[in-house]
Amino acid sequence: MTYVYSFFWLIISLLLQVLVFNRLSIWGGVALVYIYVLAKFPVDMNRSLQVIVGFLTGLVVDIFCNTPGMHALAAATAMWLRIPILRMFVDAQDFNMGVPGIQRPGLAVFSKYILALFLFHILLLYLIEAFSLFQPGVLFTKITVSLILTYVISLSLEVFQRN
Amino acid sequence: MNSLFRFLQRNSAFLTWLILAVVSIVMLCQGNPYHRSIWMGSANRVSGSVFQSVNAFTSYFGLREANEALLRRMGDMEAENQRLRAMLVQYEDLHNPSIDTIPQYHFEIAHVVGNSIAQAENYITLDKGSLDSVKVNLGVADHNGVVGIVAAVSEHYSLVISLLNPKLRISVKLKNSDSFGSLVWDGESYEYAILSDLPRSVQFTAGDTVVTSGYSGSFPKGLPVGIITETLEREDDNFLVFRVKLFTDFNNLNSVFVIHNDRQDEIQKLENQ
Repeated sequence: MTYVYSFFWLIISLLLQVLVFNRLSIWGGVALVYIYVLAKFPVDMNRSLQVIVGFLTGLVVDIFCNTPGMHALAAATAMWLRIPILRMFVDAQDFNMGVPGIQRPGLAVFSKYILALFLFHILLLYLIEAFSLFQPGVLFTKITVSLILTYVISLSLEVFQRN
Repeated sequence: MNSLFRFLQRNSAFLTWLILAVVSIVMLCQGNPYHRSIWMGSANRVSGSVFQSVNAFTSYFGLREANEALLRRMGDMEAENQRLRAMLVQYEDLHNPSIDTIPQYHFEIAHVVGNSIAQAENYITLDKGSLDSVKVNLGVADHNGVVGIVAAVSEHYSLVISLLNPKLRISVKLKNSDSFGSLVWDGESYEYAILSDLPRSVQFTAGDTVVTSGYSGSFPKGLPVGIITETLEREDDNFLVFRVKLFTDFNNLNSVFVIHNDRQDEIQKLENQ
């Protein structure tokens, strides 16, 4: 059931991403809402499957953005390293949490985990983009704006869900 | 053998990632937009129709501005028309037979269903495809100025390389001069592009209008592009480099013209000989 729920939200987030958030750029940076839904996939899911889900999610975004491979590579890598990143903040005995969120492992740990994951994903994404057009100032602005937007929206969604 | 299986099992996530990473990198390295599969872009049937159905609602935003710009442009064209008519009368007085010219270009309206301005390489999706006789390499403009060039077509949609894409370089000139240069986007702002390769001898002032040169065949000569805002200093001293403010408002693109060059095939055949 958890999986159906996760995939349902993944599809909603993809539609929102390509139809709404991609159009709302601030200084070139956009909110990447799909990475928030990916961050909330169950932790006990098969890790290879997580990588495949990340790749396919990224590929859908790529098709709509005409950036073949960019989101796919970044999201597959983020999904592969998601569990090790979460392990940095959570002890081994508390790891059986199902879907990570505000209940378990709690807001403090969850907010650190998504910040690290988002930073990794967004850095990778815009560094890949910089291969086709390198503008240090633009790159820095995009990474900063995108990280702030994604993080604020994700935390708001997380807190809003509990209420 | 057993230990190999155990190795694969233990590292299956890494191996999956490795395979998919290689697939992604192969996709990333297909840099030429003309060679890409239409299925890997927003002009395929599925993403095209998703964009189109949403656009049915959002295209109403910004209509007022578009309408005013159209009227302004119509006024300019009316003035131009008057001037040309007056010249034609003078000309006909001189040489008796009336001039019979066949227009080389014709314009078909298309609607923007997908557009981006924030990426390093931006593309535009139009709701006209090969069934509407849109072909690769046709120019696209709106009522303000140049928009881009068609890179790929499916049956109902086409993918346009936006002027906001460093892979597009168009041949332009200053309105009051015949020397030409090339215009390319530098990725900084969706309102500006860089004009380079103009010889140093060209007379110019800030505020000069930049128009298409007509050499590529995708655009007729004299289509508005933008105005010069500042001169940039570059190491290469033989050529001038300018920053150009683009006339086209890429943040608010709705209806555009696809420019059909009726002599394109003839020119192509001649150049290939």
